[in-house]
Amino acid sequence: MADPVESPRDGASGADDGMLTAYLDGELGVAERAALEERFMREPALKVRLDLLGRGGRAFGPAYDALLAAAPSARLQGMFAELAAARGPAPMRRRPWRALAAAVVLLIAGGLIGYLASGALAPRAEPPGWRQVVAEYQGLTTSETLAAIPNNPQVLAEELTAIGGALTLDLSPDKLTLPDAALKRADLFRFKDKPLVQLAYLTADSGPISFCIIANGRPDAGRAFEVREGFNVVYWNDAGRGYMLIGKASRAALEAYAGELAPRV
Amino acid sequence: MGLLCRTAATRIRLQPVNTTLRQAIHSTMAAGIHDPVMQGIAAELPRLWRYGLVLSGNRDTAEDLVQATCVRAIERAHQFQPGTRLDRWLIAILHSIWLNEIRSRKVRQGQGLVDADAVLVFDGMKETETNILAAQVLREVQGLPEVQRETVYLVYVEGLTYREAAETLAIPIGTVMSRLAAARAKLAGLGTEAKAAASHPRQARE
Repeated sequence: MADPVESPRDGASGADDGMLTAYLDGELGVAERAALEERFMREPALKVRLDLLGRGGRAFGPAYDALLAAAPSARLQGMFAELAAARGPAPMRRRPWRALAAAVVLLIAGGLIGYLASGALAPRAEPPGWRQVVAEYQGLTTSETLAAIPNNPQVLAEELTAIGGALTLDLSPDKLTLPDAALKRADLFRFKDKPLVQLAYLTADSGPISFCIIANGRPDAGRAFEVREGFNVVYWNDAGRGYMLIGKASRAALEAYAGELAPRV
Repeated sequence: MGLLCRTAATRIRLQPVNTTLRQAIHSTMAAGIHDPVMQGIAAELPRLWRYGLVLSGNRDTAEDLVQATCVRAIERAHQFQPGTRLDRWLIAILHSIWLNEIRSRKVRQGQGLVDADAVLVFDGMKETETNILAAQVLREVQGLPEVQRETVYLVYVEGLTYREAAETLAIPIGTVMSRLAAARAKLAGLGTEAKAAASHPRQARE
């Protein structure tokens, strides 16, 4: 008897059981399959055995689908986010007063990751640029996010010094003051291995505004305007750095802020 | 995406969480969200947890396994070959950690292995007919010796081919076949054959 499949050594009927199982699972090649079917004709006992093993099948997939729903997804995503972040630049400092914002972002990220996992977001034709990523992130920030952050000039100054270092920029607080807008926090990100700074302001009239700087090495470009993810954006490039102001504030207000900030930084 | 986030934000209730998470997720979104490997890993977490649960029979151990798998996958992300299956790669990592680190530690510490049957009862799961049938199948599979159980899971649940399962488990294809055959025999109620198969040294539950 030709047996092209590696024989298991399970005992008397083991080799045949393996073959029969492979037959049931559609894992045999055409020739092996034909040879086995020929044997079924000659050996009724083998066919009986096949039927018995067939009874050992179950609706395994649906049964285990239920387990996925029991997975502690939020905890797993939180754990993964921490690991992923540790891979990038170290967090500036642990700031316990950001717990509220953390909850918001955690829950949203969970939903977002689920959304991505569901395949709802097909791969884009082009990778999104930094302004797109910032705009998406801006969508997570509300007035409440920033209002929950207490004003602490000393902490802010320390953050700005550390963050400015990453972009070799002098980011002292006096250079960043804006009329009718309170600078609430500064964060250092990394986008495609380039440092990206986000300075979050809170305005009374139009909610959060972010001033972002990335060391992108691009050529100089004059000030331009666009609407992205429903936000107004004013952006320009100077001395190898990209700048953008983004928020719900009017184009004129953002242009005015840009006019103030550009010469200072 | 922005739309999705804003929509989600309107129905969120704030609750205290680990305070370091904001920074963490913040950075993930800025740094990782457009990295396909990182995105892919994030999407696989529930399935990895499920595999961890199938192997260990313990929810906490399953979480530990997922975490250890993520650590290693992130470390070795550069070794992942684009165009190959990320889920298979992650499953192989998890299996290797289970076999070489966590499982052996549990055995060494004399804890033995948890009776898997006991943990697969879902909290708050409705007792519908579908769920009762599902629970029955899970109980049956969890009652198989570990090596049969994981092979059944990889081939019949995760849909790996025999070859893929053999590579993932680092065993010959013939062993995949014999494990599945023994599992089928046992599930079909063919007691003696199942015992004979299970007594094979490669298949014995340690």
